[in-house]
Order: sequence, then structure tokens, then C-alpha cells
Amino acid sequence: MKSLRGSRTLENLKKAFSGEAQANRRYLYFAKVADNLGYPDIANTFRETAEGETGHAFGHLDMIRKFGGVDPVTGKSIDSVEDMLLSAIAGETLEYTEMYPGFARVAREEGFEEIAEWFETLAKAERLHAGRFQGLLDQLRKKAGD
Amino acid sequence: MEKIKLSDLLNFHEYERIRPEKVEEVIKLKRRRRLRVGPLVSLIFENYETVWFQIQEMIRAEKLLREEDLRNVMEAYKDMIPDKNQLSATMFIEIPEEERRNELLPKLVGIHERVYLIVGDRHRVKGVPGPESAVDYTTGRASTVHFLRWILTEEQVEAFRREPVRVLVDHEHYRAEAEVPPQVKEELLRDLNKEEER
Repeated sequence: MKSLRGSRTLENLKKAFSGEAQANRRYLYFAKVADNLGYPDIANTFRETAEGETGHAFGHLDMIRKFGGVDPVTGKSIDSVEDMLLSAIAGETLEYTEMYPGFARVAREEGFEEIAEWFETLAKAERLHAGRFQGLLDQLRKKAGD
Repeated sequence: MEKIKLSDLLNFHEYERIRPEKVEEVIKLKRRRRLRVGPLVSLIFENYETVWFQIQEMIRAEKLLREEDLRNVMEAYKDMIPDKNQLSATMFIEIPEEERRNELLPKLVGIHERVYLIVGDRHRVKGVPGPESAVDYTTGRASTVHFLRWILTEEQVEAFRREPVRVLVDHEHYRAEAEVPPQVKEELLRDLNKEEER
């Protein structure tokens, strides 16, 4: 089968995935707020549409996996469960959270102290997540070795 | 050390009610516990209140409800509270621009092992990084968050009380130092003298 690696189509799938993934989170957030403000019907429509966007985003990832592409965020293979755990660990520990301390500094300099605290909380979040995925990876490898 | 126990934690809903005042408190508290060392590095000295806040904020951000999940969050952070005669800090490398991070972070590998507390003119105490920092040597890129701990002798704590204290970052690509100002020092002396209270 033709491989996606290095192709413009892979770059396009990555961009499309990012847009759909954001749409999903936006609509779920809108649904939450609409619910809180007393509009359950509107909230439900947001929620259903968000599910549709999830389908689109998953479809892009299915294509990426089928044609030998890589995780749109980390650039790592996501073929097996082990690969996905490795990609998740990379996503938590590498470039994808490293901007938070710098963002916190800017927020503080601009007088948004509460936002600065929020960014710093997330900067420290990897301490929780990376450990969680690493534990699962160790278990999985031990099982495979038994 | 004031240990954090599961019973110290509030559930998601209880925390939400008092959160606005807690955020205000922590912002004020951290002003007295933050030290900027040169243009890129900041230290936040951790204590019971700052760690409790981190745990509660994670529980809130991730909407965790099960006791097992609360316990995992607590376990991930609770060791950041310093024991007696110790100081503990989160070191942030603050570079907002991606291009500059790409340029500087590969050069700053190892910075987590070069952070010293200089007490008076006789004592130099090296910060001990958490085990997770070692991954930087594999990735070839410095993490922007490190957890450090300084373990002082009784003599050094005594000197800390009487003499000027500085923090020095002494890495081949980043050398900076900062004097610990009086209001930060006051907080840190409290950390160093904390006995088991809870």
C-alpha cells in the first residue's frame, strides 16, 4: 500500500484533524455553558454536532493509521497500543506542554495573574500524566514478556 | 513536613465554592515565594498551601471524582512539600516563543543539575532534581519544568537565618544569580523550620 509519509496529503490530514478536534471541544464547551444557562435543547444540539465532529476527526486518524502515517501531534507511529502509549508519553513530556511557563510569564506581565496560575498548574500537569502512561506501558511490556 | 492526607482534599463541588478566594490567596502567597533568576528562569518555592492548590486545581480541571483518582493526584504531588531543613521548588524555564525554545532548549540540557543555593560565603548547596528530569538527556531537549529540592544541614539552616542567600544557576549556556529578598527569605525560613504538624 502507498505510504502517506512525507506526503502533502498527510499534512492536510493533520490540519483537518486539528480543525475537527477543535470543533468538537468548542461545541462540547458551548453545550456545557448552554446547559448551565438553562437551554437544554440547544445544549443537546451542540452535543450531537460535537459527536459528528468526533466522527470526522477519528476518520482522519483512521486514514492516517491505514496508510502508515504518524500521530499528527507527536509525529510518532500509532499502529499498536504500545505505539500509542509511547506517543502519548511523548506528547505529555515533550514540546506540547513546554510553552506553559513562558505563557505564564507573559500573562503575569500583562496583569492576568489568574491566567498565569492556570498556565502554571497545567505546566505541572505532566507530572501526573506522564507517570500514568509510563505505568501502563511498563505493565503492557511485562505482560508481553511473560 | 506537613503531609497532605486524602481527608485534606475537597471534592470537586466543595472546592468550586471556595475557589475564588483560594485563587486570590495563592496569587498573593506566590508573590512571596517566587524568585526570578536571570531572564529565563523562575523558581516557585513549594509548601503545603501551594501543593494543596495544585492538587485541587488538577482535580477541578480534570473533573476527578473517584477516590482512587484523587489519591493518584495526591501521590503525584505530595512529595513536593519540603521536609524539615529542606526547600523545594518548581523551576520554570520561561520562553514564550516557539522559535526561541527550539533554539535554546537543546542547549540548556542539564540545567536542572546546576542550581545552587549560596548561603553566606561558605555554603553552597546543590539542588537535587526529581528523577523525571533525567529524560532531558535522552530527548536532547531541556524540559521547561523541573522539581528541585535542597537539603540543608543544621549549620546551613543557621547560616541561612543570619546571612545573605542567593540562588545561582551555573550552566555553560545560562549563568545567572539572584539574591533572595527579605520577604521570600522569611517564607523560606518558615519552610526550613517546619516540624511535623499534621
